[in-house]
Amino acid sequence: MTFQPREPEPAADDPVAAWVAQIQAGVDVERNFERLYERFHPRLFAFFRRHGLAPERCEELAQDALFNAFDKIASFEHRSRFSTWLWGIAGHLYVNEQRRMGAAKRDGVELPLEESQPADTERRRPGGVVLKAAGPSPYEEVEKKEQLATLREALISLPPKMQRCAILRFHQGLKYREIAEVMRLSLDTVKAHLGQARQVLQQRLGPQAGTFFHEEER
Amino acid sequence: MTEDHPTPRRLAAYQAGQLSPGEEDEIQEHLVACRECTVALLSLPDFQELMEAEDLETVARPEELPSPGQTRASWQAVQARLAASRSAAPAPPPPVGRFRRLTTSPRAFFALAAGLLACLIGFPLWIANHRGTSAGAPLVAYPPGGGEVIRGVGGSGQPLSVRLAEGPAVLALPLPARASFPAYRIEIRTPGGELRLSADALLVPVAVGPAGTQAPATGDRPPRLLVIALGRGQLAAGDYRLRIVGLRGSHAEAIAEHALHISGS
Repeated sequence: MTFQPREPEPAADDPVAAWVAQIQAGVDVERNFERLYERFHPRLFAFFRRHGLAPERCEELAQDALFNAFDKIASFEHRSRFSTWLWGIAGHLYVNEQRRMGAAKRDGVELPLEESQPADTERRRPGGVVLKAAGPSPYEEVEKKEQLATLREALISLPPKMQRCAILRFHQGLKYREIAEVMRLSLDTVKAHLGQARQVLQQRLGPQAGTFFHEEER
Repeated sequence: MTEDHPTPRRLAAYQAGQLSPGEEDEIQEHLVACRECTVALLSLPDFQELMEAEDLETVARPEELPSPGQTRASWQAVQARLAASRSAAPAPPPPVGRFRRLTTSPRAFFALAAGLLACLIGFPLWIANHRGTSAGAPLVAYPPGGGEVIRGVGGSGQPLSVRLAEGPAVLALPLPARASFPAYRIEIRTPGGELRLSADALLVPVAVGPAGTQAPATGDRPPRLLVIALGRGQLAAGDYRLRIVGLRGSHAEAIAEHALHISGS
């Protein structure tokens, strides 16, 4: 109802920040919301699409993310870029979607994008990893927990970061570059950690260690 | 640990190296046991790339993009959701220490000013309406001005003259009797048509005159005011066009226009 007597903070080099500041100041609100929508809707749609969701679901999530963002826009304090702030909302929706789809299960098989399309029950990530949409069965859940406990026990003598690299590889099935990203380590460090962890596993578990290794590692 | 998931913002802070070593340890311990958070973290570079790219088509494949016209239709759907959400917003509970709050919150202050203004001008306006000036004359008040509370402005083709030198002003615009929209927006444009301000207006019914008076027996709607507040410095001094726009769902219709002159901003 009121135009708040507050000056928008100009941001000549960042039009998005300028639109947001104008909205917060009550200036040209509808038009600026529309500008934000035109910029971010296709980007959010592409993000969800890239992560294997159906177009209809991508539309719903992109709409929800921007609706929530517009609803809370007064709380954006310009301490970061608007898109970073938007991640707080879109990332939350994405994680919830992951959980809703039943704790997506990675099977560790890497396929190039050019190969045949995955079956309906599977979702593909751009990096070539196929995620199974169906969640693990209760039996698989128990088996996974037991595997994790065995891994942790076998690796207990190793430094924590090395243990984590090994678990991400041998338990979650991540690729080397993904482990490097998750652990914020260089690829070479990850390779070195995994080499050492593999030796320890073989010493501790003997032939049983092979169950943790991917085909190319055996 | 997996039940207590880090927020996406915390994951982003971790990825950006903004956490302490202890906090990093905590996040890593969580990640090794939580696939969803690991997947979310691994999706973050994609998100950043898509959000920051100057030209989206250089980073997104065609099949990842929405179909032509989809963004437009989607925006209209969200507009409707926002409008519904605004109209459904519950009224705030009565505050404790009401007087102090009303005098310290700008929003509450404007609401108070609008209410007082409506009471003060309601009856004369009603009479004016029924004397044949169908929409009555707009008025402006300078609530913090002390003494100068209300001035009649505009009317007879004269522009609404509003002074913003000392502080905010409250504008009360009589609504044409024929107008029957559920909501209204005020738009202020330059003479060249460039939009400078746009805001939802408060609709104030003015149906009760001073004690003992009777409402004139006509079939017209009781007079109603659209009230907005203009903040100091929000409009540069100069001439503008002020337009009242009726809103119904996604339909918007201009129903009245006034010349507006801002001085001393």
